[in-house]
Amino acid sequence: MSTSLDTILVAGAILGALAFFAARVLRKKAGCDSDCGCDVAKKPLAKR
Amino acid sequence: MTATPTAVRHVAIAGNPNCGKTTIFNALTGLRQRTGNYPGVTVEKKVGRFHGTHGEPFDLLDLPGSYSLQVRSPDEAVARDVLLGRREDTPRPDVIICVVDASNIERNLYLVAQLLELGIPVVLALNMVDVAEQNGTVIDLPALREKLGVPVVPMVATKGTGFVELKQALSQPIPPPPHQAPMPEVVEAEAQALALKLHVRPDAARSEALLLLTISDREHLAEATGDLAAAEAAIAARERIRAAGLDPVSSPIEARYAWIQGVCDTAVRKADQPALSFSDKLDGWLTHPLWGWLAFLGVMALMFVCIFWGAQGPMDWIDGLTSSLADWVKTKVPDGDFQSLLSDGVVAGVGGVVIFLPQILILFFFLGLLEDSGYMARAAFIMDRVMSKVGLHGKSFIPMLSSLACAIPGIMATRTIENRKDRLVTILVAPLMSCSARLPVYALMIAVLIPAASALQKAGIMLAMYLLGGVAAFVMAWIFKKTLLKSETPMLLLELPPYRAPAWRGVFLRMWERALIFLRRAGTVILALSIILWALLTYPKPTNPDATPAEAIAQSIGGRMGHAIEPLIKPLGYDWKIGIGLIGSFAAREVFVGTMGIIYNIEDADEASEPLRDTMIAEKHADGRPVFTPLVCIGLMVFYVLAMQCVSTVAIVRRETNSWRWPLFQVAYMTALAWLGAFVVYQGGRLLGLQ
Repeated sequence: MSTSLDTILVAGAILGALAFFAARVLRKKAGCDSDCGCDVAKKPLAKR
Repeated sequence: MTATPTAVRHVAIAGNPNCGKTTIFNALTGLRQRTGNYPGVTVEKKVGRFHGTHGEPFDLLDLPGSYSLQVRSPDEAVARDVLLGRREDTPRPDVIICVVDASNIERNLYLVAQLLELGIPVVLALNMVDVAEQNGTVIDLPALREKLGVPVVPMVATKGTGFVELKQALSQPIPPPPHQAPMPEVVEAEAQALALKLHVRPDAARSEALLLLTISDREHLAEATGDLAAAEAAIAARERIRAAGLDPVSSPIEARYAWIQGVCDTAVRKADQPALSFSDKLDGWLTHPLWGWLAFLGVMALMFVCIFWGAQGPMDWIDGLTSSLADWVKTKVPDGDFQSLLSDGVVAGVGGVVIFLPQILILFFFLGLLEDSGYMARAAFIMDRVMSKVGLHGKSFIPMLSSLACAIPGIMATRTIENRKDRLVTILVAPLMSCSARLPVYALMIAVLIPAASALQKAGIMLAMYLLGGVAAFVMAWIFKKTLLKSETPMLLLELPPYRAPAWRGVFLRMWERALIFLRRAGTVILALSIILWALLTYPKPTNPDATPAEAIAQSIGGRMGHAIEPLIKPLGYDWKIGIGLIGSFAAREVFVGTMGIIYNIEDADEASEPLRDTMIAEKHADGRPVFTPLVCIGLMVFYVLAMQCVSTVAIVRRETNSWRWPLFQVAYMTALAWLGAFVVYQGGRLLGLQ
């Protein structure tokens, strides 16, 4: 494998992993999901 | 041209706790169900789809178990709000399946009485008729149908009987219930008048008004109505009922019980002298002060022996598969960093965790079995004696038992504890109970500690770790109750459901769910963490091209982090590589196993893949001493028993306590406790001349 392809693949995997965690943080900030699978949506209670 | 789709009818399953609601829900929906949360509250929402006898679709909602619509916990509040059509996120049901435990019919009929007042069509699923029959209770079904005015379907949900009849009843047009418990005249008049002043659904107004009449506190009333004028009207109505010589709280309750008595007098006949049932006889042993404890320890020991004994074969198979996969990657992907990332990072990291799937499945099989058979409630009962010594009651033990699976549902289960301080104490100590994510760490360390141990020896060590977690939870609860969160020791009121054969379908369904959650986690969080850990342990590359793999790891970012915390962990007997494992697993405990896999795989990249256990046993310090001595292995297990190491739990505690103060305090105290525990094991052991 050429050095540049190797670098691109490794960088892509690392960036992908970092993006995965960034997306999780953003989703949590928006108030949803926990990785345990025990709870899913947690939007604020609709005002009655 | 498109066909007009049949409108989906919304059906809710309501009933008392332990009446078999969830068994009926699982049997009707099978795998076509989704589990989520009601927005804004931490109450689980289970919905599923099934089809009636004519193929018409139904959306089924499993409501939390409740004894009445006068709520005492957030779970019951959700059930009430859905039934009254108060929740915007959940449609008011078109039909209610009210599940009634036939062996406990009088108590269960109280909720039925309130449901009949809602004006929603009801089908009564009279479950456990076999148990009622064994207890000598004879239920006259035609008389019960006539008295209640709704379809009544006798069922034994655990044996699968009555489902066809239930579906047939749902497929028929069901009118709203014609009868309901008659209220005293003045209460009825006030409820009707108050109903006109409420800004709620007209069909639920009378039920809302009856509930409001039971609230005495002005503030709660204003909150419940959301309208000061309505709250004032409710207070005035209460005063008028009181002036008529009736109690506004107890008179509707008494009216319902009088009606229930009338129904039971006509439709239920009980044996004069109820014989001591099988459950009662068994309880004589299983809740006995001595035999009860021995049985509890026996059950736990059996569970752990089965975990080791039953999981060995599948684990060896997964291990073989992982090694073959790593070797295959090495032959197919050209040499380079990407090959190392795949074989040493992804396969070693994810494979190292996935290998423990069989053990976790067996753990959940047993937990499901214990819960379904009714034994969990007995465990809580015998534990109450211990719990009351530390100032908590048996109700706190149920969240702690749930925490054996995962601290998150355990902490969510604390919502049934009414006292705020007791609830906080339970939340603070629940993560000390050993969850399933600790299982991989214990199993790996036991394998390194005694490679040739029998399943019985391994189970003994594992049981000791679980007991240590339990003891630590009790001691910390006692300390918190004496210091930070002082309050009276509460009384325990616990229902002991009759023993019953587990619903196998439900048990296997839960195992399937857990397997999916575990594999999803391995394929997402663990995979991403493995890639990042691999990168931290690989870069920057050594400037000296002749550096050994060990030297390369030592000067990587991860290696430097491990070295940075080495002074802190040296007193525990750990080297910097274990330090990397501790840092890597801060977010999730099981990552420790994956991290060890990545570190030793990178180091031994040139060699054929061999089990992680053997690599760790052979690991030596620079001076030739083994790294993983018995004291280090036991110390590491003790560390993981006591440490928090779970970001998801921190997040859930933050949400449940609504502040950062308690989760941060929890992380701090548990980390300090873990360090102290490992320190005592290592240094204490050395003082005693052990290795």
